[in-house]
Amino acid sequence: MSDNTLLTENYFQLFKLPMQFELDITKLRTAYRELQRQFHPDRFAHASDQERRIAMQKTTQINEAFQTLKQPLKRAQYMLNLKGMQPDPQVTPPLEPEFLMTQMELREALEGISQQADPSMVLMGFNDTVSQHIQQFLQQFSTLFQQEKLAQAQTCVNQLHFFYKLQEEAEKLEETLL
Amino acid sequence: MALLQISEPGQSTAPHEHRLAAGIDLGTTNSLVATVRSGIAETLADENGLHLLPSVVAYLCDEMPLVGHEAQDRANHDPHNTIASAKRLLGRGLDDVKTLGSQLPYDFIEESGMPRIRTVAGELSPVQISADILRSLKQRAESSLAGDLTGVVITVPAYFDDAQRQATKDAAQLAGLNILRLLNEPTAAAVAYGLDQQAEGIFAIYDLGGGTFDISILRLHQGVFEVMSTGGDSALGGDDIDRMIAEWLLQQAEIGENASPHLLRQILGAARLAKEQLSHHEQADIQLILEDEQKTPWQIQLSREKFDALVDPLISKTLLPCRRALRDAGLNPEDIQEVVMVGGSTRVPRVRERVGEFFQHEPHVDIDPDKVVAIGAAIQADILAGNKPDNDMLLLDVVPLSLGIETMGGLVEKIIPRNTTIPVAKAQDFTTFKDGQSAMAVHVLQGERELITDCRSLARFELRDIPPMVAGAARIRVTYQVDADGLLSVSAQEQTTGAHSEISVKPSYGLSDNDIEGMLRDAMTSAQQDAQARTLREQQVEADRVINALRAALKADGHHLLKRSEFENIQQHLDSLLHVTRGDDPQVIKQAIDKLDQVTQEFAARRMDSSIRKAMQGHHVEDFQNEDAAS
Repeated sequence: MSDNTLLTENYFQLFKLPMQFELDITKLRTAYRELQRQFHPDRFAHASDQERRIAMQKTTQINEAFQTLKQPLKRAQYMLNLKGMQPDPQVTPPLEPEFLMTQMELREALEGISQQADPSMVLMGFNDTVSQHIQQFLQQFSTLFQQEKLAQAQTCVNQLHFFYKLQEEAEKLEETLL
Repeated sequence: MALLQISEPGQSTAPHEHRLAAGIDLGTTNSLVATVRSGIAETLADENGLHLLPSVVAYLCDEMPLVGHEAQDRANHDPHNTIASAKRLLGRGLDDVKTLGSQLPYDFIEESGMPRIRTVAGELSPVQISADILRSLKQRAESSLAGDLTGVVITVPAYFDDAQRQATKDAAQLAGLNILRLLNEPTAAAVAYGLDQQAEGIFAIYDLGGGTFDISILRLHQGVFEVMSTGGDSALGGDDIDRMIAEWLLQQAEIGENASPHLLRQILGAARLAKEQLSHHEQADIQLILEDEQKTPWQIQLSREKFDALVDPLISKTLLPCRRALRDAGLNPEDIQEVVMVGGSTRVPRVRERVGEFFQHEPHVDIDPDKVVAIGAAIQADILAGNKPDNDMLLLDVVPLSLGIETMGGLVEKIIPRNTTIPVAKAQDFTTFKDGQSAMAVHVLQGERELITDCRSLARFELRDIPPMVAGAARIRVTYQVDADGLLSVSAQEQTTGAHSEISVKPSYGLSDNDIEGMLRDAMTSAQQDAQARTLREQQVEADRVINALRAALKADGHHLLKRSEFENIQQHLDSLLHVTRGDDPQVIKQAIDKLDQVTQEFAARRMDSSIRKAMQGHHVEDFQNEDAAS
């Protein structure tokens, strides 16, 4: 890509949203559609090749920005990145034993689901538990970020990855149960 | 007088000029062309008043090819030169054609690359044959609109992969058409309904054709159509319903295994007829002439109730992809506001009933399910041609199948997951595996499975001239870009030196609908086998890494940091790891890696000390303290 310049300084400004973790998804979606209407390559069906190429690049960035802000985990990491924090798997501090215990328990529970009498029901309960954990950590992230406790907020995001990974694996299991 | 002529994007510089644009549904069995006239989208008929053009081309010696009904009439007496279903071959490789070849009576040319068929008019590719169909539709449109077409929108199945889309685009170009956009068939159907009714909310598009099934979930808001997910089963359609009835007839008439092909054709024909009757009547009368010596006429009644029971299992099979598409979109059936039916097979009342029950909504059937796709394409073409500058309609499609790259050990790493809104670009950084590695192969794949052998290979290329560096030091950024038509291009660049390599994925071959469906289905059933195979590959890759690193270390420092006995001990464990790596038990490999790790620990520690000593030469202790303070 030759033209990598962003439309604005950051994704929040792009969608004219305040830079905060709690986000009005409806507002985000409306702003997204508005930008798509202006920049989508279909709006340039009769323009020059160069204009169409630029339209495609801009739309690509708009899509990326939308996906980043829409998903809480990506949004959280993005906000930390804007503050100069980078996740480095090499220097991730060791996770607390308590957290690891929870992870191991959840993993064991997930692995045992297919042997249950009614795996679909058990899986639903499992998903609820994981969702609750995720909600709790997202809440915690929001608070830490507001208090500018960035290192702790990064740890919180690192931990969230584990729960999302669990959710992904639960989805795979669900596929086999469908 | 205006000094400058300024126009907004999408707006014509001459506002009153109406540009002629058309929508084309290039189907496997039938094709259609539609346009918007006086604000109404309608399909165009040929001089005999027929709208559907059979997708059949007959090639003649020294004459223009015949397309459509005339071609179809020649199929029986000139099968080698009468080509039907060319769409099934579009964007396919010779290997795919070989699997299909047994069902198709054509004379394929055994060469690498794109498949070609030998006819009296020469060797023809599926792209050329499709172009002949498109040319016929172009003529029809231009003669009935009395003018040249400025541009067209051509529809493709949502499940069409990159190579198939590219091949469709090439065919349009060959036919002299200016293609404004490739549009997914279900999206086109949604447009046909959405604009008529100014609908808002979430649509499910249920498309059951002769041989394929597609489901798409779309969000429609103020003229923006956002595809949320797609799915399907391309080995399922109206032909299977006919087969079900035929099997039932074979049972009822007590016809054994050895029925003649002629009788089977008769029974299949009767089955199709009965299916059509049952769309309007409660009962169908079926008559057959049995092949005994008396040519006994035989007849039976098929009630609607019995028919429903016969097709129910097939309908249930279509509801599975529906459930999956909903899940991919993060929705429940009750979130769906409207259900649109597309494809001839949705005329079966039981299909409508079951789909209605599943989505808890009466499905829309007001637009002829054969024409709805072409009509939607015509509406989009009209807008893209610039005839409706005030129209806000916008279609946001998705990538139907995940796009990935081959990584160590024959695994696929997904770069763009399925159902990502296009256009999209994703970059991922990779590194070299060996010291001094000067080239890296990039293998582009499409599919949901984790092993390369289970995904479709789209393209391979090589990034060369990587400067010599130690393993892991090079930073190679691979970028996947999918444009608004769903077409992929891939580039790779070494970040420190700028060595660059790029490819647009071209239709050397592509995935078949069956492959895509099969791959998706396999991914579901064999997720567990995959996990097992994945663990094995991961352990093998890890073992390779450990072996390479240890060999390099032994070569560099083994002689001066190890005693002879220590060296031999390490060598022995290295050999045993090499041995078990060839086996298929990930657990055993892991144990051998762990053991080797243990016996080399002391060696590693000595090397570390030695390199720290080297690095510290010439430094003062304060330097390190300062750095500590800064970090």
